[in-house]
Amino acid sequence: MMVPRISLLSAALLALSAHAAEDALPEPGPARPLVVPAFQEATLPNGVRVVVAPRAGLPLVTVALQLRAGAAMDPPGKAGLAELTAQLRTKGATVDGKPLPATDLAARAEALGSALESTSGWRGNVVAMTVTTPQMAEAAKLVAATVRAPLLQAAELDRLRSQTADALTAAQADPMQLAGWVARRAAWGASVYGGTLTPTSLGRIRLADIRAAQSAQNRPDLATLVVTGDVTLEAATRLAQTLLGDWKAPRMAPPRARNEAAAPRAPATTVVDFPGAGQSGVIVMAPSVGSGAPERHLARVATAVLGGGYSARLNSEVRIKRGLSYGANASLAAQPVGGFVIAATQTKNPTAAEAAQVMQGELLRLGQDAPGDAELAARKAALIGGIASGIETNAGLATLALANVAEGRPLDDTAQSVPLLQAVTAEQVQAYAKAHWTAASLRTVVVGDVKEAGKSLPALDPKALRLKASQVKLDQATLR
Amino acid sequence: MKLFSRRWCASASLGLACTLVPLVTAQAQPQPTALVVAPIAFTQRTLANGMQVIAVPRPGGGRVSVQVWYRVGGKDDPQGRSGFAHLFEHLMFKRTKHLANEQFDRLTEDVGGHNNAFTAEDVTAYFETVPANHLQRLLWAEAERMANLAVDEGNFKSERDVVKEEYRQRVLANPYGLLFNAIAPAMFDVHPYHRPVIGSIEDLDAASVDDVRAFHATYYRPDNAVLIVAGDFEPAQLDGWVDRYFGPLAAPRTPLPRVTLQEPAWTTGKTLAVTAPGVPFPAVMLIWQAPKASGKDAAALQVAQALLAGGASSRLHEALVYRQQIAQEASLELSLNADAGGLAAFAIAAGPRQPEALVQPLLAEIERLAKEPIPPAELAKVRTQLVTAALKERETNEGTAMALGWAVIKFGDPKAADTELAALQAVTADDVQRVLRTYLLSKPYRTLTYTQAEQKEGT
Repeated sequence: MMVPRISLLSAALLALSAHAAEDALPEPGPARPLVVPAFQEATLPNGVRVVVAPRAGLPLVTVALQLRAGAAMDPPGKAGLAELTAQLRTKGATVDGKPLPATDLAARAEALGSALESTSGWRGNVVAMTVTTPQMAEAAKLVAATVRAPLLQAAELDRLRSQTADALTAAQADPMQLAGWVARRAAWGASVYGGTLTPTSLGRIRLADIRAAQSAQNRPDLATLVVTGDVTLEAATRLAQTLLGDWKAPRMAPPRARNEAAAPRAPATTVVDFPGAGQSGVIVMAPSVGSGAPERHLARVATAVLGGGYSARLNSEVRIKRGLSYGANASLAAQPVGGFVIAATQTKNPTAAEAAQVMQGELLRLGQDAPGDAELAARKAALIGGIASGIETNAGLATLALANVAEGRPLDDTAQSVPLLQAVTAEQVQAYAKAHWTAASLRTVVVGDVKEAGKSLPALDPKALRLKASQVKLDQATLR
Repeated sequence: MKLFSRRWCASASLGLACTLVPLVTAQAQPQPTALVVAPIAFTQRTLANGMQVIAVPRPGGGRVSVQVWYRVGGKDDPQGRSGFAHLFEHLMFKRTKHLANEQFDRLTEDVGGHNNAFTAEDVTAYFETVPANHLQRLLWAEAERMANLAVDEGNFKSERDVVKEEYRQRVLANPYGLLFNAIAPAMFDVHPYHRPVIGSIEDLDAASVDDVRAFHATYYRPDNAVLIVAGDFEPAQLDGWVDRYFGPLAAPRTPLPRVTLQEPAWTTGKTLAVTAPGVPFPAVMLIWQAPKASGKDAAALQVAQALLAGGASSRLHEALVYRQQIAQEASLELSLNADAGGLAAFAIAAGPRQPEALVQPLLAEIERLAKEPIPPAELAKVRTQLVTAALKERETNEGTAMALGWAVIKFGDPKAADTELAALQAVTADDVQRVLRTYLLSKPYRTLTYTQAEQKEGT
């Protein structure tokens, strides 16, 4: 182990080398606009949509098959049904007319270069793979089989149930993770959007529920095949016709999203005591407009000003100025009926109340202090730059198309949204924050070691709901 | 390797966030002809001051990744200052002579790009992606902070608090954080790799601004740096800017200090018990010594790792998680550092099992891979997965530059990004079995158990 040389030397060296560097920051060159690759589309006679974004370069493709169904269709008391269905799909499927058990299916997929990724969103269930071009047809076959003909066996559900129960236990040992779930329930209450898979709902979901969910959503008029990368629309459509062309729509109506408005039943503040927590998870929420509202671009920019990036207001105040956390940010969870902006951070237990107050203060301050020109331009650039980063990969490009399809937006929505985001003004952002992010509308959740937090936490809100971590009932709108 | 980033790293499960283990594995159908990955087309040169410059033109796309890799990492932390290289990394985003605090964010995030940095055992890397018309500014700024860092007491203290919160988030709040933090001291006795890169609260508290100045002067110099630029740029213009901004920086005449300590071979095994509050399920970890990254057997060990731990159909997952249902996670992490390596097989119990019950099942799978025939299809699958993973990394300018950066740090040659990929493809079943016998079956290992410290009321 070498120890650095004496520190006296450093000042001299720094001064010396300073002569060498050029003093002035050069100006940027002329800007070029963001180009979102155009999506091409075809539709099979049975209604299956085929969406393609060809990209030359690497011999790599992402193949994704989405059904427009998801957790927003979970029945009351069975939150997590869509998620469990998505996981069980990969545990065996009928391929080429033969049942392929879980391990064989995983092996066959992984032999193509990557795993079958099955995910469930609020309105879209997706199975996807990213493989080299020569493996595209085989990958698409496995993806299609997993979506259309999963085995959904009792023994596999038992195994999945026990693994999921362990995973939930492990996740609840993480204060930030628990804070996220508590916050969702505190904000949405009894609404379907307040739900999450819990040990209780896991125990209630039967194989019959999963099979019913599969059968309700297994239909071509809900399906979209997205292929990005080294592919043409012709090739993808041929593949779709081969694998999905014989898919027939049932007569019954497709499943409907519950799409229930927020119905919170917990007080404005919830404090969950988690003895031994290494840090506290802190979340502050405020209402947002719905995902289809005319002001949705405004909501995105306002969220970006608040907490979209390193230098946005939350991280500036929580991390940079006060050193309270490794990071604080804001995200937007918008549903068709409305939504929330979610400010989140992790901090040591004694500063949990301070972090919550700082974040509350920043949410309210935006309604008072409009962003300056430079601040607004920077946050818009970060927001739009995030889109540019996301589409650098084929998988990212596919994700963007899938999100637009799931939400019923046009495929060019992302490209169309860029000038709309750019057009948002500082006055609009301030007015939006003032209208929606009011003191009475804030909801705060702290999960941490209350004893270690000291007196500041009880003082945060004398009317707070106080629970032990072991008492929290995520299935209940009241959280207890 | 463990990486600690200025911001967040893309999260993975159970504290393994940011470890770069190859994906990989499974059993199945023989593959058609192997896909040949085109080599990364780059140029390289060395400036008169010793700085290495690698350029990867990827026309179109309108964006560019700028990276500076310094050959200094956690292993170079001063005595009694574990975590210092990483703390220092954070301070590189503070004031310089001509840049304000956080001005790197003005130059990147504020114009639609992003920036970050990480510290690993052998290296500290700074990287930005920006719209291509901002390339010149980033080159100027990287040269500026290499030459003119100006840390003050206020910045130092507030950023040290941030790093302490990072420690708490990764090590204390994560239910398995203390387990993964125990790997470094269990894997190395003598080499400074035995100190976790994140360090400790006490050592972070002991650090001073003088330490920062000394560290910058010692390690942040052109002859200890590798500049990598990948993306949409004009090569001649890049050369001109690099000469203009980095060319005048002088390398000090003093030699660069280097760690030369050798890790002795273990002669016996031992058992270590780690406890923590709030352990959801016990875990066990088996640790062996492994060669360094450039060792001749490193490729075969990586393929062995992939066979054992890459994916749902890998040996460990299939046996312990799926078939026996005794673990909720079973995996194997291979740390191939520049000076010395290590290997950690671990399992997290399913339900309330004793960690000792997981030892034999882990060993049995390793032994089976070492002794029973390996189906050709299983090896073919690993090869396909390794190629696919490499291609996915190369989709972006940033990933492409990263591949070259690691090749320089681990193998001393950017070409190794491609030659090592070829070496992985050439590994045979015999190679895999030989290295498992050489480094695992015939060698002592250390057993690390992870259990609940004491029962706290209420949870």
